[in-house]
Parts: sequence; C-alpha cells; structure tokens
Amino acid sequence: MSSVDVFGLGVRSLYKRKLRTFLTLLGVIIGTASIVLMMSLGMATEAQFAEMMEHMDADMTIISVRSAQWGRPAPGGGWEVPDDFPELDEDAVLIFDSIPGVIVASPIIRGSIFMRSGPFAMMGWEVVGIRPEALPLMGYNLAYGRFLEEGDEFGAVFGGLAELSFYVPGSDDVRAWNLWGLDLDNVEPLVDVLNDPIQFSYDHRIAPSPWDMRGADIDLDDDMFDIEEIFRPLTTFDLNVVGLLERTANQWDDLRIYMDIAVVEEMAWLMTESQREEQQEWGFFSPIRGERERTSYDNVFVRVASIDDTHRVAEAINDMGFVAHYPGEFIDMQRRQQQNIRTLLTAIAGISLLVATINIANTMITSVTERTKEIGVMKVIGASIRDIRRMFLFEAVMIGIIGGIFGIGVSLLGSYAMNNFDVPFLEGLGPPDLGGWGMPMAPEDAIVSLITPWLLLLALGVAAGVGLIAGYFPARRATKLSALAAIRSD
Amino acid sequence: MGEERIVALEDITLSFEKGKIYCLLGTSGSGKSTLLNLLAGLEKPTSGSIMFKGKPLEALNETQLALYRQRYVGFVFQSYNLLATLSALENVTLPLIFRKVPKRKRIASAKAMLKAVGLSHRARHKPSELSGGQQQRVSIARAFINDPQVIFADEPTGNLDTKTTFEMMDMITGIARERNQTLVIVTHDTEISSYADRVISIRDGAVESIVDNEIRRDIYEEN
Repeated sequence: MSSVDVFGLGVRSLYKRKLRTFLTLLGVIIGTASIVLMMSLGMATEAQFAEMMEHMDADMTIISVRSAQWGRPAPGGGWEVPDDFPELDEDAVLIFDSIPGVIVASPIIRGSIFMRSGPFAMMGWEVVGIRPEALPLMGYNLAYGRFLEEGDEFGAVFGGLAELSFYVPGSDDVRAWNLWGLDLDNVEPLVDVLNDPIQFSYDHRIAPSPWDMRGADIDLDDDMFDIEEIFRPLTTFDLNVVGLLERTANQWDDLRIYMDIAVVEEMAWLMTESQREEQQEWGFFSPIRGERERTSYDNVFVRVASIDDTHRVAEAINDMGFVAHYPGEFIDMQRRQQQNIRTLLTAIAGISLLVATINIANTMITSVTERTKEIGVMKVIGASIRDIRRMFLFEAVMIGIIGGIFGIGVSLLGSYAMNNFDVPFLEGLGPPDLGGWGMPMAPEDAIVSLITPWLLLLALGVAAGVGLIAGYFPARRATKLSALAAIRSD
Repeated sequence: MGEERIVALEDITLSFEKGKIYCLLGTSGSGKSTLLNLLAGLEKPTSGSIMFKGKPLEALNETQLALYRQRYVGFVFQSYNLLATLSALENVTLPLIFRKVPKRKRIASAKAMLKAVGLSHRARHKPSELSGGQQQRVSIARAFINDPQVIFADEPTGNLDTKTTFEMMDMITGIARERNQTLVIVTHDTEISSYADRVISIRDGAVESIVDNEIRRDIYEEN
C-alpha cells in the first residue's frame, strides 16, 4: 500500500468522523498551544537574561575565588565567619583545575608598582601577579607582542587601557582616572610602552602624584629624588613590556598590568621591608609582618569554558568551603528562581498534552472497535498487517500534526496578545529591574513571550510524536484482530 | 472455547481443478463455511494439509497469507462488506491498492470491472446509496479485479431476492468461466448448486457426496 493511499484513506476516515476528530483535535490544540506558550515565556525571559549577561562589563567566564577567612555568605542567608576554613593554597588550585569545565585555575596576587618613563609617571595600582603559563588561557587576546614567558626578566603584559595611565607629575592631568570622558579610540598614549624604556619600583617616590605640585619642579631625569624629607636611595628595575592586550568590554580589567606572580610577590615583600625601614627611620616600631614564604594566595582565578559552566563550577568551589564570585552571579540567581517557576508552568502544560495523548488513544481504540469488520474485510481482500498498522498509525499521527499546526496558530495569537496587552499575572516574570546597582537595566520594551521557529518545529514534532505514541497500541490491536472473527462481527 | 472438543471437519480429501465451478452444499452447521475458511487461509487446520499450487497454506505466516490473498484469491461475502466511506469505484480498486497498483491503472481496471457487472452508471455512489443487488455487484467486481485464480463466495445470494439471485449467479459464474478461474460457492440452496460443475455435499463435517453436474449436463444436452 503506497503512502499516498494511506494518506487518502486516512483523511477520509477522519473526515467521516468529523465531530469526534474535531474534539480529539481540540485536545491536541490546547495541549500544544499551552506548551508552546509556556515555553515562549521562558524563552523570552531567557533571552532577556542572556542579553543582560552580554551587556555586563566583565569576562563572564572567570570565577574569582577567595578564602573564607574573612567570612562568607551563610547558607540560610546573611553572613558567617567560619572557625574552620580550607587554605587557598596550591592544593586548592590543583583541585579547582580538576573540576570538569575548568580551563585553568591560576593563583593571583594583587600588587602595585610605580613606574616612570622619561618625564611621565604611572601608579600601577592594579598589578596582577599570575603564572606566565596561565595568562594566555584567561581569555584575553593580544593586540601586540606576546604573553609572558618563563624567564622574562620583569616582563609585563599591559591591559588594553593601561598604557593610558601615564601622566605628567604635578600637571593635574589624570586622564587614566577619567577614562569615561575620553574618546578612547583617539587618545594618544604618552608613552609607547612597547618601545620606550620604563623603570618601575615598589617605592612610590618614583611616581609623584599628579597633584603634587612639587612634582612639577623635579627633574625627572635626575635619579636623586629629594622631594621626600628623608633621603633614601631608590631601587628601580627595568620593566620589560612584552605584550599589549586587546581592549575588552570591561575597562577595569583593561587597566590591569599582568606580571609574573613571583615578581609581584617579590615586590610586595620588598615594599613591606622598605615601609618598615621607613617607619623605623621615622621612629615608629614596626613588627615583622608574616613569613617571607607565602603558602596561600589572595585569589585564585578559575576560567571556565563557557558561561553555562560558571554557576556549576562556582557552586562546586563554594561547597569546598571557599568563596567563589563571578560576574552576573546575581542575575544568575534570579534566572534560576524564574526557571523553577517556569518549569512548574511547563509541567502543567505538559499535563494537558498528556491528556490530549490519552484522548487520541481513546479515539483510536474506539475507531478500531467500530471498524473491526472493515479491518477484517481489508485483511481478507489482501491488506497486510503492515498496511493495517500504517493506516491506524497515520490517522493518529495526522490528528497529532493537524492539532499541532492549529495549536501553533493559537499559540502565535496568544503570544501576540501577551506581548501587546497587559496581562497582570505575567508581571512577576522576566528579569528584575537591577538598574542603579551597576547592572544593566531590563530592556524597556521587553517582550513577554518569544516564539522562535525552532520552538514551533519542536512543538510540531512533539504533537506528531504524541499521535504516534497514542496510535501505537490501537494500531497494534487492529493488526492482531483475526480476519475471520472480524468479518463475522457486527 | 470450552473444554469440549468440537469436530467441525474430519477426514476430508478434496481436490479442486482450475477453471471449474464448485459448490459446497450443506445445511447450517454442516462445516461448509469452515471448509471455505480453511481454503481461503482464514483458518488453519488442526491437522492435515491444504495445498495450493503445490504449497501448504497452513505453513504460511500472516504476511505470506496476505500476499496469497492479494495475488490468488477473490472473495464475495453474503453481506457484501463494502467500505462505507468509499465509492463503488474505490471499493473495487481496494485490492489493487493493497497490491500497490498505480492509481491511473487501477481506476481503469476498476471501471472496466464495473462495466462488466453492469454498474458503470453508479460508480461514484457510496454503498449506502445502492440496493442490495447493486452492492453485491460491486462486491463481485472487487473479487475479480485482481484477476485471482480462485474466487470464494460465501452464500453470495443469501440476502437477495430470487430474481437478483439468478442474475448474480449468472454473472459470477459467467465471469469465472470466461476467465477460466476456479469458483468455490458455499450455499445451502440446492437451486444455486445447479450452477456448479461439481456439487460437494457436506454433512456433519464430512463429505456426503460429490455430484458431477458436467456429466449430467452432457447427458441432458445429448438428449
């Protein structure tokens, strides 16, 4: 029996039982439409959340981990300072590295250095000490040069905006701190960091502040800095800028300077020493702070493969007793809560589809019983089991598909209505207004319901599948009928 | 399906020749319908064998039986058994649909077949719009359309009046003879048995007698 004939006979049979077919279709229409509408609500909010995440000024795949030493969010809400907490040490870094989805976990030390290049100075507050091999894995792209390498003597990689931080001491020109007012594409940096020689030190005297009018008088070419009351020799090092990163969406990140973690650690130690000496010279007592050898880190940066991994990995790290933060954490939390509500709504819609399935099955069983004799006759005049099965399956699938198509139509109308008229009970859905908290605002003209072609195809597939499932047993029953018993029945 | 064992047919040996018309004659409960069902492959014998063209029918599975019916068998029922949703023409084409004959071809043969049974003018009508005799004509056309080797007719005239009965019998035997096809008619009506070449009387599940009408006819014609 050809498919065309299966189609022709099936359509006729459905048409003959118009009312019953219509009522069965109605169930499928309602089921499909409610599923599509519920999912469209979810897709609209998901799209908005995704848009918000996209507009966040940060690399969304970097999780910043710190020790719980200074407290952490308590499980039930609020804040707690644990008595016992794991050290953020090398072992922890290795464990983070082994979590699925993690590209690299790298310890971080934050430090600051002071720089000068000819007449220009810079206060590098955002120096990030990182392992040379980890930097390329953090998701940044090079604009010029290369990343850090093992063995670079005082190598540094500048963030995309860091070079703009040079200023003329005493000039009151603080362009780097007013980046938001600058036309960043047309600003000429004062120093060509890749080529001009740059000295740096842990000692702040190398970079007098822009407001220090004494800075205007000093001869920066003179190595002797006598602006401080106490004369001390100044130790400087030659900074070797090996690379410049491309700018990212996050200007805070772009102001960073990346250096080998060992160098930053060394500088921090030298600074501590020097401050202590200075204080002692001033007559203050300064105890030796801490051990020279560090065992734990300020932070560990954990980079994950995709935004979708951040929540899971951060949770895993939190469960180990550390404190993991990532950009978009708050949005993610909201998103998760909404997902729960939507799962519930979709489940309810799913029940209506289940009822529709049972309805189709019921209709088909009735049809088989009613047409027992017809089935028998068809068998006697040469219908194969396969023919019979296909005929009944086709009818059931047809109900599914036609119901699916009309259901899609109804859902499109419903979606249009929801988007264009106020529907009070939908107000709780969608991203919350986070404006004013450094977060992007929910779009003004946000739509409530989003139906994509993909969703429609899925709905049609589900509707057809529902028909197939519902038709399976009735069709089986039809094939199992004995031809003889069937023709004798009335 | 009680415990009691009922013997419908026992110790029957019959052979059917190609192109001959047979009548299975018997009262209700004699076992004649059971015999027909066995021959048509609708039932399987508990013992014994039914050979068709040298092959045992009882050994065929459902799919092979469907093929057997598609290719070699035509069926005429007492109560016509037409599909109510289909027109007369479409009912006639149905066996060809199962044989995957292309639409154009099967409609042409169905039209020719309807013409042969004298029902061309009612081809587009649904069974409910036809008289009993007309419905049986459609049913006869349907039985012959796949050019079967055997046609089984189970009380084909049981629901018809006398005049129509003779019309129908003339038609069905006429077509079968013309095409050299074997026809097996089940009936309790002795008048109908006169159309057959051989009349096999069945009683209590056994063959009571076999009468060769051809010889009688020859004698009659000679006289």
